[in-house]
Amino acid sequence: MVNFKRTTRTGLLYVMPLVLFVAVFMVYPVFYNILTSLFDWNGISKSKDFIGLRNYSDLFGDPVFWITVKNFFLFAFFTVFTQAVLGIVLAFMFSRKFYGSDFAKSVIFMPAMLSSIIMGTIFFRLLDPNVGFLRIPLKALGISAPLSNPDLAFWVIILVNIWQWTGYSMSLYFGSIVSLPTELFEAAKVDGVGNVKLLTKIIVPLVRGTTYNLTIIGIIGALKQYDLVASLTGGGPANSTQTFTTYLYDAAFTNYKQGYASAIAFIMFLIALAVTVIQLRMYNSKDVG
Amino acid sequence: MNKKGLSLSLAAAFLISASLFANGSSESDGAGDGRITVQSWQYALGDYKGFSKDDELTGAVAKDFNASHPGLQAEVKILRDADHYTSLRVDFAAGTAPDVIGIAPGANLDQFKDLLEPLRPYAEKEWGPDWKDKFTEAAFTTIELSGDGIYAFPSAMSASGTVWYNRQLLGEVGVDEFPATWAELEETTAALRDAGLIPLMFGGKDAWQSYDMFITILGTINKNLANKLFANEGDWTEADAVEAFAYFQNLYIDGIVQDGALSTTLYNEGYSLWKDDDGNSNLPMIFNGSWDLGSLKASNSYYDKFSSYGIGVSTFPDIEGNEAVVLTAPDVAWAVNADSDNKDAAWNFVQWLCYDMQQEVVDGLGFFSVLKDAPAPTVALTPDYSAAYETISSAVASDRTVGFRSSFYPDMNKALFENLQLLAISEITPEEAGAAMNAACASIGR
Repeated sequence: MVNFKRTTRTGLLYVMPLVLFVAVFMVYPVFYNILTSLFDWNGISKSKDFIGLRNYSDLFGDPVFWITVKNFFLFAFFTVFTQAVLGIVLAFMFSRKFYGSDFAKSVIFMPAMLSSIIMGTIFFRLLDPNVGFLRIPLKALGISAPLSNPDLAFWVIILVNIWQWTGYSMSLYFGSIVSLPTELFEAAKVDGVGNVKLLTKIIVPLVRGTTYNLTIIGIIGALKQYDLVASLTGGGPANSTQTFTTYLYDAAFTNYKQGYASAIAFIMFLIALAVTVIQLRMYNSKDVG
Repeated sequence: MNKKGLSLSLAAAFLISASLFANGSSESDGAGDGRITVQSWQYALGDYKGFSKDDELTGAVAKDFNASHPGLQAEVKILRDADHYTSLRVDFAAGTAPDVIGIAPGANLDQFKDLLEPLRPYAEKEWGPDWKDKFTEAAFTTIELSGDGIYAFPSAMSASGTVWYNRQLLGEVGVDEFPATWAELEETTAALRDAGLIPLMFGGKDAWQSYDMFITILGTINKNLANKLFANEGDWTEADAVEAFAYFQNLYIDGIVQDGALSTTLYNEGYSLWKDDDGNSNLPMIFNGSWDLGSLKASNSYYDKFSSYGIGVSTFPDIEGNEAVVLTAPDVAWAVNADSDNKDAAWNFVQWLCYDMQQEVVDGLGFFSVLKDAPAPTVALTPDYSAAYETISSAVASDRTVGFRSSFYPDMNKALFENLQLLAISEITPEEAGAAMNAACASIGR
């Protein structure tokens, strides 16, 4: 006969290390951060002044915060959408073998293996308006210093991100497409379905699970976007490329406003929570293929 | 081992390792035994005795201190600037902060002062009640600004607001002398642009470059107003302040600074064009400070190549007939951890670096001494170095100086940098910049 009491106790002992780890390193920091956001604190002094929700009211009244919100949506929408479209088209193209296709796939995927800081630094050099290799073609297009132009700088960051991560989207879509039953493609061929229709009417619906995953990863990536911004613009010019994380870093480490930075972190936490809830609902939905 | 035994072992291993992490190792655990830990950021020790590699540099400093202080033993560590301050935050919270801390005077010092030992009593004990007479007046401008004690001692002064120039490249566009006025600066930079050369290199992405430039302009137009504004006692919409904003904006509008200046940091993007690893110089002019004097030493690799361009240094051009100011302020300061177990030994290190070693500061660091009776350089100097040193030191000795390079108030610094960037992209007018600064400064405690 199974001794349930004893089994439960042993089970609890097994999970205890992980529970302790999660409690100390994940749960406690979240609550500590919420608590810190209620104080005026420079992150250094032993004393903190309780100010209630003032950090939040200051945050919502700060125009730079709304720039970060706008940039988050812009970044999430354009990178997720463009990478998905380019990724699925490339994956569909590579799903049929041709000479050099493996090499081309590797080259397209390669930027995803490099650190974003390295990507940012390379593009920063390329775009330098005085000595960068791209300065001449850009000048021909009437663009002199895109990273110094508040109307263009954030779009450059979006483009670099797309350039870096399209290969990653392509590889996930490629895996999904090649795992689809071959009969499907043969039947489509017999019925005379063209490539565009095959892609849009058959493949896209069948790989929507991958699309959901890439969307969630992309949105969380947009929320955490730091490396490219730090290496390309540092959040400037004039805060036009600030993201949540660069803004948070500036508040905590440049401007000595730890409570304010904690309020930004809590807003990020709420957004991540909402995205995760949507993600879990999608996973639990029977519709996801 | 049965399941229960295994789980108990795992749990025990976890708890033991967690408690070890929690316990940590205090950097100050050598209570009273003369061992001290020193941490600073990279350039704070300059090229001490010609060493530039981190471990050789820190080793040389520690060795010299230990040799001259029997019974004391310093362990010196340097980190990158941002890493240094980030690690200090964590170390202070964990009770493992170093005994001696290199700290930048101004806003950084002001934020950390609650955790630092007041040093006035130590100085009085060391040098008597008139100890301050030993130091230049400017040495404490950004240390004592808040008026509530001395929490750090300066070891080196710098001078900024200067322009370094390349005679050979200026000569290519027919400019034989560095521009003496703003109008000449405009003409020179226009000629350089026409010749396909980069005009004045300026790191507009750096807050410190933007502050240096704006304070130089404002101080040149109205030095007293600059002093008042940065002490948060003035009106940013006063005509001279608005005019300074207008001049700053014209740097960008009139193309005096290079294209893309707003996305350029001076180190290393700008500087790597000024002097690359092979001694080539591709810039006619760069806005920089006295700390670059070291580049004019014969011991530098490729010095001969670099020197062949005819490198010179000048104060900024005059503005509306006013001779330009230079910004002279303590650049590096040293503090003692208030919770240190070895405060006396830590003070010995501070006192050694800030007083005893001033000859080394002058000889090796590319900085100026903090002492009134400043020692003259004793090392062999190149003619370029001597000329540059003479230009800067006579500017520092004149009354055309401003004693700070940013504000004590982080909120004022933040607002100023934002408004200078908005001016650069012509998003606001100089008048609006003044009004925005008044609004930002209104909530700062005086």
